[in-house]
Amino acid sequence: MSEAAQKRAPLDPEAARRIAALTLEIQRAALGLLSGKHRSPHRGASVVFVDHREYRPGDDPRLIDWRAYARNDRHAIKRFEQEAQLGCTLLLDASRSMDFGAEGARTKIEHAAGLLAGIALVLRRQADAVGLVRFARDVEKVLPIRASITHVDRVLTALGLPVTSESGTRVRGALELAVDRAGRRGLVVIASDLLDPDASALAPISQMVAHGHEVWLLHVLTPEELELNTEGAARYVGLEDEAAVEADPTLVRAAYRREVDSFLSKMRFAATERGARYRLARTDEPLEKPLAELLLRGRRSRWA
Amino acid sequence: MGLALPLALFGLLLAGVPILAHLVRRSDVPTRALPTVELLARAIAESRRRVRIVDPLLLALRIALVAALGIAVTGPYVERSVAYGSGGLASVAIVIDDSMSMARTGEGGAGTLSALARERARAAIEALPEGSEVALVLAGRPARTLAPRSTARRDVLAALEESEDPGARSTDLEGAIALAARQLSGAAHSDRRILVLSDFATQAGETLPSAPSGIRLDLEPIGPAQTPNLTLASVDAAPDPTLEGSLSVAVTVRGFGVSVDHATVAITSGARELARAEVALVDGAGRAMLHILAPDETTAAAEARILDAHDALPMDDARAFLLRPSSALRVLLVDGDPRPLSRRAVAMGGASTRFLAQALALAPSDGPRFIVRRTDVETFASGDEPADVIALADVDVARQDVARRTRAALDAGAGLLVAGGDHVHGGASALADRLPARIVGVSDVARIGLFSGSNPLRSRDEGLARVSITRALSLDATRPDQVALRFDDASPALVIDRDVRTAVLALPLDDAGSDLPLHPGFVALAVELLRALAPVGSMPDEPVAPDALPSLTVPSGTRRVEILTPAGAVLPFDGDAARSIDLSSLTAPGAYGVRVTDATGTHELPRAAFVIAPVLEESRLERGAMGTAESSTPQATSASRIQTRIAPWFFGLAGLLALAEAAARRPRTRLAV
Repeated sequence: MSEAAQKRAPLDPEAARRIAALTLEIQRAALGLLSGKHRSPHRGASVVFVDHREYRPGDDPRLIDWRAYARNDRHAIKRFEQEAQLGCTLLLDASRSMDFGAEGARTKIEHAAGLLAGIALVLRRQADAVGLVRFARDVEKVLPIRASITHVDRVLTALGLPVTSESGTRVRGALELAVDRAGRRGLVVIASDLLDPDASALAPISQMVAHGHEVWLLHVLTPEELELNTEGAARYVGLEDEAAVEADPTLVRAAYRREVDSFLSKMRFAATERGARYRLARTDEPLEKPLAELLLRGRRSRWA
Repeated sequence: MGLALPLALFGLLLAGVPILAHLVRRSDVPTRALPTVELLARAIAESRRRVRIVDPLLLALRIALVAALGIAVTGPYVERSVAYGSGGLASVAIVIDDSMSMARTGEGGAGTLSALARERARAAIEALPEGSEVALVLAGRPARTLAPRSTARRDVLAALEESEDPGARSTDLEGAIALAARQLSGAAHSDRRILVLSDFATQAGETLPSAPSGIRLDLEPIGPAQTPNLTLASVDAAPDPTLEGSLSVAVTVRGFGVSVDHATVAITSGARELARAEVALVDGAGRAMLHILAPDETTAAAEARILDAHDALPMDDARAFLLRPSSALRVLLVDGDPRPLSRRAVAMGGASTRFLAQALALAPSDGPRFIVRRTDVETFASGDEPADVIALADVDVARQDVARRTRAALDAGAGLLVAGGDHVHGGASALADRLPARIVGVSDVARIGLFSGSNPLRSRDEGLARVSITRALSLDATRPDQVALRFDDASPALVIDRDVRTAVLALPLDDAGSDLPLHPGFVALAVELLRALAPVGSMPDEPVAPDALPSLTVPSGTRRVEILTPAGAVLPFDGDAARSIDLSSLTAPGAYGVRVTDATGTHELPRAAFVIAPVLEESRLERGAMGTAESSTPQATSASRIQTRIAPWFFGLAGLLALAEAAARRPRTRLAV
């Protein structure tokens, strides 16, 4: 990584070191252009037998398992696992609302970038390909999916850029773009606060899943947003031109939390119902914790 | 309702504090960024639906709480009027003036002052809380208790209801206050009061009575401070020496604050007018002399009245007077040895009765007077002149005609004195059965001194111890205990039977057989002896105030006594000769007669007639010093205004509001959390 890129890196070196130790295990088989560490859903010429399938005209006759024919008097084809290179598309919400965080703490975009950067580092270590879509209301920056080290550095650099947009969020446009550019089966990781007034913002996830992508949704929110844990009445203003309101947190905290819970449930449901994995990423928790849950097999608890 | 600290009302401005805090809280708030402000807006909308109700209620409760505290600090009180007292338990003695001046009508014809005073007393009693002690004292002279101190309000009110209208009593406020103070001694409550209800007219006294220690004295004037009044100040009747059977009646009219310059006075007897005269008033006073022919012997009294007085106090517009002196003892001196004497000596009744007549003329005025008439034996024996006491001086009692006449007089109730002399001899006497001593004979033994016997007279025997006796009757007392005087040899000198009022004196009443008439003790002896022989039942001739009325002593054998009132009513009394009849209940002014029933039948006692008249000062209807005092401790009072502090109620209300506020704040907090 270049010095300039290191300066803008979304990960501190220690976090990068810990994340690098993690291994990405794709739940679903990924299909890459190059052989890789990941199993491919395409049955190929590998040595790892998977199962039999009935022979259909057009299949390669070389794949017929004659021993099975001898036992069952049926023509069956032997299927073998094929390892593939993973293509991962990272979607970073860089809207104005993501530039929010408590004094001295990480902002949402910093936290989201950190998470995505961690994934990118793991993929780079596994020689997988990584692409990036940075969006707000509109798509701001798109980096194609590639596996070169310099490319990954560019991705990391793009992740570390500050928020420049004054506009709100439009998740749906970014996802639709990602559907078009994600190519074959791969991994799509979305990091956003999902503060999008569009109720169908996550609809393109269905398309992604239908195309064989594994979709991870990282819902990034700060503790202030989740709990409204400030004290004293105040005039609250949004960051994306929402109408300001006056409120005494003491008086409305309970109702607010109910609203937040409802919002989270709604987002979780919208994601999971479409086949994506959902993870609430609080900015006050260490980066490696959600990453570990994402990347390690056997994790259960926090994933919807 | 009032406020003890009105300025503290400014504290109510504190009620604006919650509003101010509300406004300040709304305007002076910091701005914070929150990306999820849409969620917050929805949360606020949801909360506001519930808080919208609670918030104004909380604000109202807080305002009310501060207002209640602010009002409580101002010391609010409720003022109510009570007729008397402090509103708490008290021991009260109410002094009601029932003197004659209280019989006047009040302003606007609102009843008499006495009625007003009683009504005021009733209101005061009813204003006292249950359990208070009340005593009623009347301030007409003599002061007396109408109802003793009691917590039984009903009994006290009943006594008040039954109290009589004022009579001719004068005023004794000081005595009444002292009596009221005695009623309050040992009272149950520490709040002890004396309420004096009076017109405080001049006669009530010029000095304020000192309030008894530990007792509050409230003087409450009743009626106007001054009322014009015309009064018949005095009526004096005397026999006219120029015309037998006629009387000269001097009437005096006084006007207090009146503007009239004359008054018409009439003298009536029953329905018959005897005389009438115009009395010119100069400087409020006038006098006239009226001449009347005395009605028949049976009419004891007449009445003088101011016609058309039309003043506030009718009671003093008329005065009764006796046509004949009733208390004067008619003494008939019978001279048994009339001799030619000087004109003066003859006028005094002859030699034998001269000293006695002179002595009776010197009788002190503290008892009945004497009307002395003189006669000789022959005239006496043949006449029927009435007399209360017959003194037979040197009369031969053995004569039948004398005995017969004397017996008749004794039967008519007269007393009898038989005195010694040349014409009195021992031996059988036609009056022997009526005399307390038998006349044995005449003793010419010289003796010195008369001494008290076994039944002595009250009179002092000083001066009699040196009486020189040269001739006296020898007496044999029927009962030794009836010897009033004895000689130095213990033989009886004077024997009296007090029951039948007969006496025998061993000495002559002149200076023929002794020098008794020349000794200083003779006057007292003669007066007391004649009064002892007089019939009982005599009453004062002069009009008297009710408090000065003596008891009436009726003759022995009286079975029934009836008092004939000026209004024509008959007041019966049980007859008891040994008992004096208390007449203190008689207060109405006017002439009273006395009728007795004995063994001989029912007849009036002319000597017992009497007249009740008010003192002149009761007619002066001007408020005196006692009723106009301004700087003295006792003050005129009226209905009291009692202030009941209600600050505790407001503090209590504030407490309730605080609880309500907490209760309202609780769901609000629950909504918030």
